[in-house]
Amino acid sequence: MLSSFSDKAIMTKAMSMYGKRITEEQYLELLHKKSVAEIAAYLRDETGYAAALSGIQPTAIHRGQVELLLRKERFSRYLRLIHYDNNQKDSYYRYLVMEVEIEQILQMVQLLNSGRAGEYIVQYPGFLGHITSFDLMALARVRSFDDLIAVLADTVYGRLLLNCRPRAGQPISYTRCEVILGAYFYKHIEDVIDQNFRGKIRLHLHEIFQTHLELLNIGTIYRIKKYFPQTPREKVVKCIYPMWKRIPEEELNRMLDAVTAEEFLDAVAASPYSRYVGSDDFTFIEYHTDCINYHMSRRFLRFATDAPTAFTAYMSLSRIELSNLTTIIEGVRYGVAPSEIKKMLIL
Amino acid sequence: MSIEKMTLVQITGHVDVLDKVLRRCSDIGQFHPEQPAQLTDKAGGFTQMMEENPYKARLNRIVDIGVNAGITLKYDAADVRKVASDGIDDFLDSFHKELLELSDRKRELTKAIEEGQTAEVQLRHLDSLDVSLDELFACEFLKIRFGRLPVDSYGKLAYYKDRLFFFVSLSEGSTYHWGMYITTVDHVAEVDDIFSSLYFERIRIPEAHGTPGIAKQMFKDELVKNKAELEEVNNRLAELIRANEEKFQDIYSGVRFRSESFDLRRYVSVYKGQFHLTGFLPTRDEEAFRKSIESIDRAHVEFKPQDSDKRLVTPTKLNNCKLFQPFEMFVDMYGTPSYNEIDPTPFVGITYTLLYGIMFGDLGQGLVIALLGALLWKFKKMNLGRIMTRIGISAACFGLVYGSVFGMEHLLDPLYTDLLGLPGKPVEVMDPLTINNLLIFAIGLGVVLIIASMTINIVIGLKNRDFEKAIFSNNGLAGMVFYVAVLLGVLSMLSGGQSLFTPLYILAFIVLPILVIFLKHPLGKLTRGNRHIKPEGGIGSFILEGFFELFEVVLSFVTNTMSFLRVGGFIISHAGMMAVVLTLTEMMTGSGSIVVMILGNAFVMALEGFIVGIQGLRLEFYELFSRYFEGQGKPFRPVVIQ
Repeated sequence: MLSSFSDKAIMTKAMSMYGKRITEEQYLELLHKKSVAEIAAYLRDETGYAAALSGIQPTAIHRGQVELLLRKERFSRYLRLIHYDNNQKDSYYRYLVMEVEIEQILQMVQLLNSGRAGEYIVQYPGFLGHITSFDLMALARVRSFDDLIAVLADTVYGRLLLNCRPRAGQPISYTRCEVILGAYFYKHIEDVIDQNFRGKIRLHLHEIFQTHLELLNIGTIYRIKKYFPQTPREKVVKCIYPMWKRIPEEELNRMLDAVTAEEFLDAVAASPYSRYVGSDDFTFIEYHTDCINYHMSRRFLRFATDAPTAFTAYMSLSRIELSNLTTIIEGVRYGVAPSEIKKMLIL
Repeated sequence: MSIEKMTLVQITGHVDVLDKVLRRCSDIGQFHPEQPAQLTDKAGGFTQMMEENPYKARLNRIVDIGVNAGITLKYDAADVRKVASDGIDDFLDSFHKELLELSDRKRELTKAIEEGQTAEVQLRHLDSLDVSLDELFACEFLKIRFGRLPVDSYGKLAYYKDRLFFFVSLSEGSTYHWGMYITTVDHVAEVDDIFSSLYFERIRIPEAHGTPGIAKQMFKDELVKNKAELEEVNNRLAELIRANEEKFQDIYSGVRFRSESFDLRRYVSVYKGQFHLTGFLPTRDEEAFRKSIESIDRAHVEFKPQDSDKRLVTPTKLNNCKLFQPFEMFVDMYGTPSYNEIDPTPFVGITYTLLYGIMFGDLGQGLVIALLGALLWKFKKMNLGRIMTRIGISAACFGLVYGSVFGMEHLLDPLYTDLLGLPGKPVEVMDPLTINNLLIFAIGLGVVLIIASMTINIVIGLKNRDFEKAIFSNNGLAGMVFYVAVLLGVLSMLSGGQSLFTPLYILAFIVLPILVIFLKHPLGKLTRGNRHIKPEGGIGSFILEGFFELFEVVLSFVTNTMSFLRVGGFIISHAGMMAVVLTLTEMMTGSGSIVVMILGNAFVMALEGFIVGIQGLRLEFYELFSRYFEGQGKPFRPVVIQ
C-alpha cells in the first residue's frame, strides 16, 4: 500500500515537473538573446529555473557557473522525486546516480589522457558529493591510473577498470573504459528491471533502455565508418555494447560489414531500424539519436500509468532540456546565428 | 470518414522550370514530398539539390531584428509583393542601427542598475565586518578581495589548502558564501586565478569607500540616476518600433515567401539537367494535380500505387466529415494512425460525445457550454471550441432526459406531463432505485464499448494479416471469447437462472481462450511461417512471465470494465452538486439568491465540466485506445507556406 502511494506521488510529481519545462516559444526567445547574462536573466525571471538561479547577478555570472547551476537543478529535481521512494537502498531509481558516477569517472579518464587532471576540481559537481559511492574530492586528486583504481577500490567500478590498465607510457583506452562501464550499467539496469517489475512496466522500461543502447551502438558504428573507415571489424565489435538483444545477427553482420558510412546507413535503412534514419544527413549523429529519445520519452511520459516509466521518461527529457540550454548558452557565447543554434536544438 | 487514399507521385522535368513546379506544388497544398536522400542512394547518378538559399541570410536578419524589437512576426500572403526588394536593405539598415543604439544603451543601464543593486546587497552582507574598509585596503603586503563564492565552490577550497590564502565567510546563503579572501601581494595573481575558476564574483568597492555604510549610499545615488535614464530610453524605443512596424511586417512576408519557396529544392534530386521529385498525393486530387503541373512546359507527372516503393512509408491524412473533424485533435494527441490502420476519429467522436452528455446531462449548462464553444471557435479559432459545441449539445439532450435545467430538477415537468403525456420525467437521477440502474447501465455501456474496441482490433489485424493481433491476443478473438463468456456466465448466475458455468463451457470458452492468449507469441510465429517457436529465455522464464502477464490481462478486463462505473458516478455527482447549489440559493433572499445561483452554476460548469471532459478522455485513451490503436503512423505534411 505504502509503495503504491509513493509510486503515485513520484508519477504525479514527474508529470507536474514536466509541466514546468522550457516551451518552444521560450527556446526561441532564448536563441535571440545577445549574451550569457541575458540568457541567465531570462531563465531566472521567466522559467522553472527561477528558484535555482535566484540570487545570481546575471551580468557578472560565468557561463560555467550557469551550466553548473542548471545541472544542479536537474539533480535536485531528481532528489525531490526519489524523496517519495521507500526502498531507497536497492531502488530502481538509483540508476541515475550510477549514470552520473560513470560520467565522472570517464571525465577523469579523459582528463588524465590529456594531462589536465588538475582541471577536474573546477568542473566536478560538488553537489553530488553526498550521494556518490566514492569520494569526488579524492577523485579530483587523482593523477594516474593507479590513483584512480585506489579511489574506486571499494566500488564495482574499481574492479571493472582493472581490465583497462594501460601499458607503460600508453594512454588509458577511453573507449574500453566506456564500453566496460556502460555494459555494466546496462546489464545492471536490466537485472534491476527484471527483479522489480512485471508486465507493461517491465516492457516499457526495457524498451526505453534498449532503444538508448541501440541508438548509442548505431551512433558509434556510424562514427567509426565515417571517420575511421579502415577500422577492422573486430575492433568495431569491441566498441559497441554487447547486450544488443533486439537486433538479429544477420542485420548486425550487415551493418558491421558495411565499408563506408553511406553503406552503413543503407544497411540501417533496410533493417527494422529504418525509422532511425532521419530525412537529413547524419552530420550530427547525436542530434538524431537524441531526437528519437526525445520523442520516445515524451510519448512514454504522456501515457505513463506507472512511476518508473514516468520517472525514466522525465529524467531523459530533463537531460535533453539541459543539453538544449547548454547548446544555446554556448552558441550565444560564441556568436553562432540563432537559426544555426536552432538546428541543433531537440524540439 | 476514413484514412485518405494516397498515390505515389513522381514529377520529372527540366531544371529550368523547377521553381515554377515547386511553387505550383506549394499553391496546390496537397503534395507531401519525400526526401531524395532515401531514393538517390539506389539510383546511380542522381544527386540531391543542395544549393544555398540566397534569401536565408536576409530572413534570419529580419527575424533577429524582429525579436530584438519585440515585434511578433506574422506571415500574410497578401503582403508578399507589397515592398519592392530594392529598398529592403536600406530600410533594415537604418531601422536596425537606431534599434541597436537604443538597445545597447538599455543594456548598459540595466547592467549598471543590476550591479548597483547586487553591490548594495553584498555590502549588507559585509555589515558584520567591524573594520573600516580604508584600513583594510591600506595594507601594504596583503591583498584583499570582497565578493561571493558559490556554495559548491566553497566546499572545494579544501583542495587548495597548501596555497597561500584564506577565505573569510562573513555570511552564508543557500547559494553563496559572502566574504573576502586575503593573500599576499606576491601570490595575488595565482590566487585570483583560483578564485576566478571557482566562480568567485568580486565586488568592486568605490575609491572613496570609508565604511560599508558610505559605500552603500554612493551606490544608491547612482541607482536613482540610472533608473530615470532607463525609463527615457524605453520610451524612445517604443516610439521607434511603433513608427516602423507595419513596413517591417510587409518586408517579412515578402522575404519569407521567397525563402521558403526556394527551400523546397531540398526535396529535389537532379540527373543530367533533369529534376526528379517524389512524394504522395491524395488519390482524388490526381487529375487536378496532373493538369496543374503538366501545364508547365517540360514537366511531367507519373502516378504509382502508394506501396510501390518499399523504402517509403505512406503518410496518413485523416479525412473526416465536419461533425467529427474536431476530434482528430484527440487522436493526434495519442499518435497518428498508420496508413493501414483504421481511423478511430468517428468512433472517438461518437463515444466521447455520448459519454460527456451522459455524465454532464443538463439542458441549461449544456447549451451554455455549446455557446461558449461556438464563441471560442469564432473568435479564437480554438479547435477545442468546436468539440465543446458538440459535447454541449449532447449534454443538453441528456439534460432533457434527466429533466434538469441549471440544476433545477422539476422545471421541465410540465413538458413531460402536459405535452408528452408521460407520468413524470423519464429519468429521476436522485431516486435510489434509479441510482442502482444508472450504475448497471454504466457498466453495460462499458462492456459494449470494450467489445466494440476489440472488434476494431480484430478487423485491423485481419486487414493486415496479423493473426497474432487479430486472433490470439487478449484484444483479439481469444480475448473477446473469454470476456463475453465470463460476462454471460456471471449474468446467468446473477439473474437467478441456471448457471452457464458447466465444465464444458468453462473448458471451451474460458480455459481454451486463456491458453491461446498464453501461447500468442509462438502461435503468431507459426502463422507467419516461422518454425523457431522456442522461447529465447528458456521455457521456465516463458511460463513465469506468461503467467504474470496473463494475470495482468485478466485483471485489466475487470478493472477496465469497472472503470466505466465513473460514468454513472458522475451523473449522480452532478445532480448532487447542483442540489447543494439550489439549497444555498434557497437560503438567500432577493438578488442574493440570483447571484448564488449564477455563481454556483458557473462553479459546477467549470469544475465538473473539466473533470468530466478529462475522465471521458481517460476512458478513450486507456480503456479503448489501448485495445486497438497503435498510433505509429507518419502524418501527412503537404508543402505549403503558412
